[in-house]
Amino acid sequence: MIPLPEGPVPATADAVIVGGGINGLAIAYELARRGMKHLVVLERDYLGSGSTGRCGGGIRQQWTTEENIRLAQESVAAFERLAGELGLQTFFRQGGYLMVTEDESHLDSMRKAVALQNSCQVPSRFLEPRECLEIVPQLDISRLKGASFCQKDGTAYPFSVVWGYAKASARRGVQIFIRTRLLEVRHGDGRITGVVTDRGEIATPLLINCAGPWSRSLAAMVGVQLPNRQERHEIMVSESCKPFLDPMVISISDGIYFSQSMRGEIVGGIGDPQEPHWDRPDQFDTRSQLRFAVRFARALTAYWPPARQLRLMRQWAGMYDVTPDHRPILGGVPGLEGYQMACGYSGHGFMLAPMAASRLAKQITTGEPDKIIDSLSLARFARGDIEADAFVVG
Amino acid sequence: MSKRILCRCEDVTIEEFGKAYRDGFAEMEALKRFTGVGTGFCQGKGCLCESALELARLRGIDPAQIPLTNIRPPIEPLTFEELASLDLPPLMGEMETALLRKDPEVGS
Ligand SMILES: Cc1cc2nc3c(=O)[nH]c(=O)nc-3n(C[C@H](O)[C@H](O)[C@H](O)COP(=O)(O)OP(=O)(O)OC[C@H]3O[C@@H](n4cnc5c(N)ncnc54)[C@H](O)[C@@H]3O)c2cc1C
Repeated sequence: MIPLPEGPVPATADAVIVGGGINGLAIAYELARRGMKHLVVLERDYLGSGSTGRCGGGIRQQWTTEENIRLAQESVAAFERLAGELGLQTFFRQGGYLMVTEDESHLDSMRKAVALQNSCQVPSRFLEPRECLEIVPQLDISRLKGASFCQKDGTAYPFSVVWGYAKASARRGVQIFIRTRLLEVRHGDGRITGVVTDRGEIATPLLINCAGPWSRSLAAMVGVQLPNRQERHEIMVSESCKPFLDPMVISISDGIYFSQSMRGEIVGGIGDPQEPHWDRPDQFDTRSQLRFAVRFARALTAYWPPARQLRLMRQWAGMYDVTPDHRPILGGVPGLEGYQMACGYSGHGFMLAPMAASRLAKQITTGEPDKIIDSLSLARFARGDIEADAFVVG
Repeated sequence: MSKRILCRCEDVTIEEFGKAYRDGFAEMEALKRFTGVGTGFCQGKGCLCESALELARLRGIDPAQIPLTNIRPPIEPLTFEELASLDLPPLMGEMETALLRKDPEVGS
């Protein structure tokens, strides 16, 4: 049972978390688990209505930067226990991720990435094209140059994870307000003092920005400039068929990804280099395009011919919140006490959220600095301390 | 009691729908994802209105006050082979978005 209060918001709170996606709810849960009281989550629409509910649910540890590998690795361990911990089936399935490439030029970085992943104890391995057939027998390998595979990667159902975090947070006293919009932030003298919502004001010393694609405009309300840009990404689901595709297949050459859900549907998407970058919510346009369906169908049938007779049932779109180095922005900013954020996930914030939330909550409640959060702080851009992750797909 | 089916594609009964409602899935958006109502082959053509009526009954409000979930393309499922054979259309709304984009860093 997820209680969703309908009346006015409380007059005071120890923290207000903006965003009822996986990040906002995971952080609320992690703070409550560490003993924080009087927590409020604001979601202007329904739970999961932002990027989270539109995402592919993919969870992989095959990254090229150590921070992303570590966060994803800890998150996989979290997803392995989440259903029991939260008390809701998450449909987490470790069918693996098969990352393929058609470009000779990727092989070097792919081998290096596998070595880095292995040094972090991620059990990935490099595969020759014909070895991919052991994992996906019907794959067309004629254009492939190489691949990497990790059996421990997988997928989960985003809505279940969101509801699980909501339910477990509510059990610990977190108040979750849906259909409640943050309108204004009260701040002055270098600190946060409160928020104004369409259901009343809340005095609070701590504001956590988990607004996904809207985080840039929320940060601007308190004078924090984020380098994030927002991009539309489309995705689709096919009719159901018998289980016959074990892993998520993902191409770093053309950006297609597809997997089979536990209901038997193929879920997949493909990035479009022609999509514009936006930086204002009034520009966001998540209408579906025939162009996407055609591009996806071409790439899917080329990689995986048995899909030809399968039917596309529904397509939709969501926003990526993209940073210059494709890594999230976590933590606070100097000179503004009580402001924290977890955003800029660049299309992989579902898989990184459980551990980003746990580390951030620990840092907030104990005051102990966290190495990974520090290396992913907003300050890294000013320091010039950025190393882009090369394996961004979608 | 006999079993009453609300969504034939996903085999959801009125009873299951009501139980989900009582478990806190109080809106169509959440009920759809939790029970599967409207997510099958017909994409809600046969059950979305029925479900909204049932939800209105459970909440004791006028059905006109129940917001429905989005209808998305395609209208009828299409094979990937059919879709792959179509000409590639340009990005929709490119003109409008290009005009809207006033990005000082790009200098437009
Ligand atoms: C098509 C697609 C596929 C993807 N596939 C994957 C994948 O396979 N794996 C993966 O890890 N990631 C994937 N992602 C990325 C992933 O969805 C996001 O990184 C992640 O969901 C971000 O979660 P969040 O909680 O930070 O943001 P969101 O889920 O966007 O939540 C932010 C919430 O804040 C609310 N909000 C905003 N402003 C306000 C306000 N003023 N007042 C109140 N509420 C407000 C919004 O309504 C929203 O619900 C995909 C994304 C897309 C679009």
